[in-house]
Amino acid sequence: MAERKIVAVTSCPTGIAHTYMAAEALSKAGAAAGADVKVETRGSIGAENELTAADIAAADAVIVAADTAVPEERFAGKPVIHASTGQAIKDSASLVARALAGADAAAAAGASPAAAGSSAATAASGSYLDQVAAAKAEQKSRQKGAYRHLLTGVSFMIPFVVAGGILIALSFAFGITAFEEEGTLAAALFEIGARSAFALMVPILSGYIAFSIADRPGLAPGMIGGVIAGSIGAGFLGGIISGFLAGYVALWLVRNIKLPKAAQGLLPVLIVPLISTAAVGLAMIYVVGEPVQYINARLTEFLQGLSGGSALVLGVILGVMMAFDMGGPVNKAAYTFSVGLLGSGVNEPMAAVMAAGMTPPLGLALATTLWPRRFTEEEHEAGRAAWVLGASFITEGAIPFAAADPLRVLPSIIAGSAVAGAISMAAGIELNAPHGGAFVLAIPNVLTNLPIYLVAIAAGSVVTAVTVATLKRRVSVGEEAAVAGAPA
Amino acid sequence: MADTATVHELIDVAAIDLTVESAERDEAILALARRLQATGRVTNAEAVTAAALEREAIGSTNVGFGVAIPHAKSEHVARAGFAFGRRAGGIRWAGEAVADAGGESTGDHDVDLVFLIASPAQASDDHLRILATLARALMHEEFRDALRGTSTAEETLSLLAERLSA
Repeated sequence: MAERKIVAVTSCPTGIAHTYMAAEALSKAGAAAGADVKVETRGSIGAENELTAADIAAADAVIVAADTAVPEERFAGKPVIHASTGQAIKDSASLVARALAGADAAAAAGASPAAAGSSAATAASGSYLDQVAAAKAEQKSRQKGAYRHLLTGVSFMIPFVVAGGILIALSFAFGITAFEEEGTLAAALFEIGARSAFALMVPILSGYIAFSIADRPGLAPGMIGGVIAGSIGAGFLGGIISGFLAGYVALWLVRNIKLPKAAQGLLPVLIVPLISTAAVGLAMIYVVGEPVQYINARLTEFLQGLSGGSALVLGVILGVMMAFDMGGPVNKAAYTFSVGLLGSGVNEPMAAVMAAGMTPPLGLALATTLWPRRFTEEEHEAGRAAWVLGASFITEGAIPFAAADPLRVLPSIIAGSAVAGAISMAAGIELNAPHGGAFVLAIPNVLTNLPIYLVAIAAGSVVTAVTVATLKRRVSVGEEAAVAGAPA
Repeated sequence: MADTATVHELIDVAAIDLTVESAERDEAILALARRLQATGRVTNAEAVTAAALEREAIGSTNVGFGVAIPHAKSEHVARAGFAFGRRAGGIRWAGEAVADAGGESTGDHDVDLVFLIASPAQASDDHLRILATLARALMHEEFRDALRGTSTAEETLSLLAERLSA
């Protein structure tokens, strides 16, 4: 095995001593561990021994030993270990060991081409190169920058969607109401999947969008803003808003607040987190929250006005709404409207809503299977899980796709869901269970007319798959490389 | 690299104290600051001590291995430089009032080697480089042991000169 390379950055408030002691300690520990360590010192002399793009590209791992904010965008895609200079001075050996362990894990993931996670390492280095390019061309291409932040957020979110969604599906396997029985395994699985993993999904998306923009200072306001996006019912679109807001607010604060040297230590631990979190939180509650509630209320009224009218029109509208924001105010209005009608014995809208909620993940999964080259490696992972999630009426399975590329994915899934909802409503299919997907279809008396219902779901999925493949084809070659990250 | 500054521009034999009297951090810093004032590097030892203690409040400069490197950047420093103090019995160097604001608290371990680094608001890069070299050198055990083993200030000075000349 070739000698492993670590790049590191050290920085301390005064920039006279700790910066250099930490640098020396890391070099020493690296030599002892048989690794090549290059350390950039950011002291009062300025940055010395600066890391070049080539150094970073060749590095297996990164150590940031800093007590002040250090720009880390250039390290995106590499395993990064964070520490204070004090930790580096006292225990550089364990930092180096951790960095090498991280590098080994990344290398192991890339070593077996057959494994599911095969191109994690290639994807990481590929997207890293894109990110360097994107950083350099930041002024030229704002859009690429925004995509990059979205992709970072999405890649951190995917495991939460997959793990949570499949655990919820497993709980349905015990019977679709099994999770309501306290103390059962089904209830535990539902607790893990729906109330824990899914509850973290939007905060993680939002937090890592902000992290991608502003580095560590973005994480706290981003995640907290994401929690608020969930609690005000703004869904993943609200989480994207809070993530970008938090990232740029934190970045602005870090760049523009100037404190006397002696008080600089307060910046990262007190001032930036406090102000950015307050600003993002208040904006989410007062600026985003109000319209979200308004939209939800008006749409609910609108749907009530439609019932009794044309079934086909209602089916199209419910379908559009289900796919529009997946968990946001529009989706919730359609879902709660239909569940509410179940109580009054009107069961057709429920069937339309479930079909329309199943097609987004199913259609996207189908698209990743039929047109693999139009999706990133991560989307292939998400696509495999999306089959299960879609079949279980866990619409969230489509969120990783939609969050990464909303302008192309949302129209596609809206079109598919509209078709599925329309067919289901027009055929007068009734469903008297509010969730469960494929798990309830097999139960007699829950669903009328299974064959046509399957046609509705299949048609919607195909429409989504074809639409998304068509829209993605229009992506220019250069942009596709940037979005896709790595050549597979 | 052009080696325009030498360690002799930064430390005088009079700024080396191999038998620091006080076992208390603040008093030890003040004693070293007074030596820097006596050699004309520092114009106000109390103000420099206050600046160093302010830095301690952000994060203790007790870096472990029995070494502390209090430092002050202040307009009361006329010329960049440092003082070296040694106390065989140890100096209490608590990380009192340390918020983990970057520098890590190092706990209550004693130190026996103290470098008080004084830098004017605008220090020359050459001087800062020597201080950086000192900081790096302190990470090496044989250098610390050598510092503990000298018997006179002159011997310490030549050890520093030998080790810190680029």
